[in-house]
Amino acid sequence: MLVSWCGIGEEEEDSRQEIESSVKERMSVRERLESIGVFALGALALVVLAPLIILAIAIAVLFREPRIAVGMALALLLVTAITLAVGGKGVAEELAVYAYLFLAAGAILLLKRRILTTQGRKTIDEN
Amino acid sequence: MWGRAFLGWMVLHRGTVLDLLLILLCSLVPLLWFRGDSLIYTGDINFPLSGTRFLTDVSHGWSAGGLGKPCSRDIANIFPYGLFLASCDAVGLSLVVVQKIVWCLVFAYTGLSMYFLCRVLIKENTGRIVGLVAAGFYMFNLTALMDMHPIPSFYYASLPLILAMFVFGLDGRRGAKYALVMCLVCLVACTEWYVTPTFAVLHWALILAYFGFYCLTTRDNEARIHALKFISELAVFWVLLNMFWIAPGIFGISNTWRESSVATIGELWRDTWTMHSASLLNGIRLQLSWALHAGYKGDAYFPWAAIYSTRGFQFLSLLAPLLACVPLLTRQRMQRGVLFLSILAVGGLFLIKGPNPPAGELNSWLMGVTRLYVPLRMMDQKIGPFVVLAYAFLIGCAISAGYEFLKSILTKTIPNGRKQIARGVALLSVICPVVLLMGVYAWPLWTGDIARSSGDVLPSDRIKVPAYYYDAAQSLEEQDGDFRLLSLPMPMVAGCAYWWNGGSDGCAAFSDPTTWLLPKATVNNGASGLGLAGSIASELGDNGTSNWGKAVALLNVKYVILHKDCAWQLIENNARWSSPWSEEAYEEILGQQSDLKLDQEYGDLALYENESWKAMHVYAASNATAIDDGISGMLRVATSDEFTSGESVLLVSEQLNHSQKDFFLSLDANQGHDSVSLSYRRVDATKYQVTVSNATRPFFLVLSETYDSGWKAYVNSDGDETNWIGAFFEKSVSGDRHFTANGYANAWYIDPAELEAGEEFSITLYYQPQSLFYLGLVISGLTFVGCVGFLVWDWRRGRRLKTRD
Repeated sequence: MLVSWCGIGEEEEDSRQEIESSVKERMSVRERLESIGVFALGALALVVLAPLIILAIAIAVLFREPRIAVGMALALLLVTAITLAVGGKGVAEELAVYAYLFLAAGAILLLKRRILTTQGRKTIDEN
Repeated sequence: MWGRAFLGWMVLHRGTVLDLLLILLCSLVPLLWFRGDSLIYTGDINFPLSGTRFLTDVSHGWSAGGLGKPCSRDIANIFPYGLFLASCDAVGLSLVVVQKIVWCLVFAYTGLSMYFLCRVLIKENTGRIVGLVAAGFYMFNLTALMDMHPIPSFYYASLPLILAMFVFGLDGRRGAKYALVMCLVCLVACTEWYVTPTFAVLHWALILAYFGFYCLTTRDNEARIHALKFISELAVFWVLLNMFWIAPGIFGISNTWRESSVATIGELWRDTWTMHSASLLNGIRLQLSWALHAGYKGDAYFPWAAIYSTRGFQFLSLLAPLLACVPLLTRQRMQRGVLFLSILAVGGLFLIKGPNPPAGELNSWLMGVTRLYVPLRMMDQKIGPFVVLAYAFLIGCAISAGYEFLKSILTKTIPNGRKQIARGVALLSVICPVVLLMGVYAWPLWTGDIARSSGDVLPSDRIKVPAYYYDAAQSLEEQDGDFRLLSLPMPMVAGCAYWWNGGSDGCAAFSDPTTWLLPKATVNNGASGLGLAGSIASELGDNGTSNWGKAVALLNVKYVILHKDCAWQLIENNARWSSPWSEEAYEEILGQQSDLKLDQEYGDLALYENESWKAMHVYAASNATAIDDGISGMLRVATSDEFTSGESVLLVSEQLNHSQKDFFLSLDANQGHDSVSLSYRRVDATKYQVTVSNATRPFFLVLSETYDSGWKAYVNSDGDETNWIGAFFEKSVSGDRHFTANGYANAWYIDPAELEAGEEFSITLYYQPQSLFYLGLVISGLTFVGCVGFLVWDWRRGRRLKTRD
């Protein structure tokens, strides 16, 4: 446990709040504009991505195609990286959850295929 | 002949040799962290300042430090870490040199182990690039930065090695002989970290996970049966070879499990689990530790971490997971290694995120039902390495696939004769992500910023122990007698905070380095002695106490040490310290104590002699007093004028069970006050040989070590000594007569008439789990000799047969 002996005590919470409030005070106009931009980007991302996500889920479920799910995870991670870079941590957190779910679905579907191949019900080429 | 053969092998495998040399070169990076002759000492670091003393300490199931505590689990430290440190001590290597060697070795071990795994999982030529990239990433990443360094972790380093050896055994359908070799390698390579048995369980979890995956994805039943046989052999050999720490360690595990059922402790560990869980986003980008962007009183725990909040680094943070996804889209996706490690990463991330979404409630419920939050409460350190391991391999695959893809495209487009250009351009596709991931993103590992310099409040991670500690140690060494020291200010649980050499260095770690410097046991944390040390330390200054020394004398403390070199700003008003005052307040209050006299000052160390102290490590008490109003009531009695320490025993009624209470009430109050003559010899931390004479009446025999049911008293009327084998069979004083005395110590009610011992007899006070260690050592030793003997015999037989053919 790294330096956790100091822990998050009340004192630390106090100092953290102080730091946060001082940071807020120092927020420039540019940063405010940025946060609006992040919100807009997040909204746009959700509007554009939502149908894509639904489509990907549909394809992944109907065709049981792991690559769609993994590809979707990759795309979402890329958007997460961009969102993080422009400062939208909250949106990025949400996007990361979806990316993880797609990745998990992809990995499970791949495992299923591998097992089917093992049982001789599918060939490597089919995968 | 051997030399020529080796040279031949090197020429044949020159690519691999080159890779290994590159990894070894990278493993010298820890040398960049040191400045001058300062040690690096921080966090949970397990680096004792005396190798010999460390080996002696960990060879016993009872630690004599502080007020004594069971440390059966520490026995795992003996091999190879304890032996290595003691050997370095014997050779006379300086501590800084030893620390540099340890870290370079662990760093090399980390890289080589990952490289080996990749070469086992990928048999093709591409395995070299995969291995190099994976080894590099496993050595230089944010998790390694946070958790492994500067805490050298054998656990982290050994994970790939264990998996590699197991996969190698399964794929090659190897038998019992290979299982034996694997267990011997594991004994040397992993055991040190089994001080926390969870790590052993996690090693086995990884093996079992791969075993399950292998059985699911293998076509023939014969392979499954072989795998089952192989894993069974492995388990048997492993248990036998590791019996020396498993047998005594079972005591430690059962204690921990019992403690977790206590509501308050269980809740505390659950909170720890929540604190050490990362959000999914942070988990995915391997920013696992809660402390990364935290700080204390304005000082950041990791001053270098600020840059990770900048845009560039935020974007870069997702490069690793992005690359790790790529192999699942390429042809490699159906390979066993890629698939298994992808699932490992997905599963690991699910555990690491703890109660955070998605399915946070499910995770909390699972942890609650199984109480897995007890062993896995530090998810970032325990499950984090699984994810890093998976990432490292997958990133290696991704970069290798990219290289192959680019090379094939460029080779087709670039005219013949310029293949080298195609190769060079493709190589750039490897170098760019490697530099970004392992160079830029893990920069504190390269610059040495990983070890913190002093801030305004938090001391530096680099320490140079001031010379006055050695002067004080020499003076204390010259004094005879079994006594303890008490260190002030005192943390409530553990830790230390020193500000040395004018603040240019110091120490704020979980383990206090000064305990290795002082020759006597030092009470330096409030949890010591069932929490009595903390209660006594908190009494100082309360209600105008003026004879605090009498309370301290209960702990057999002769000297109180005031550390004026304490990081006062850090401890002031910090609830984790028993009396978080200023230096002046301490001096004033200690000066008010009538029985504490400032005896000596060594630099910033002030030694106050306790005039109420009387040697009472082992003593006989004819008087016993039971106290109803808890520890505070006991301390009131202990500091009263009527009480003389070393002559009476105080029993707190809430520390007695029903039968002990009934027994105490049945005692005759007028049994007399004849003094029993008693002398004792300390054999080691786990054994005291007591000689009793003039025992005409019953008495309480007190051992001033923390109460533990493992301590047994064996009465020998013929004056013999009970040895470790006898401890299994001989009858000891009944558990009902074994009391918690003076709020923390062991006391046995000895009735010579009832025991038919006469007036003169001997008593062996023995910590019984030590016998389990000896028994385990015999089993492990015999297995070890048997294994090595068999392997040598088999090797010689093989050579003989070869020669005959």
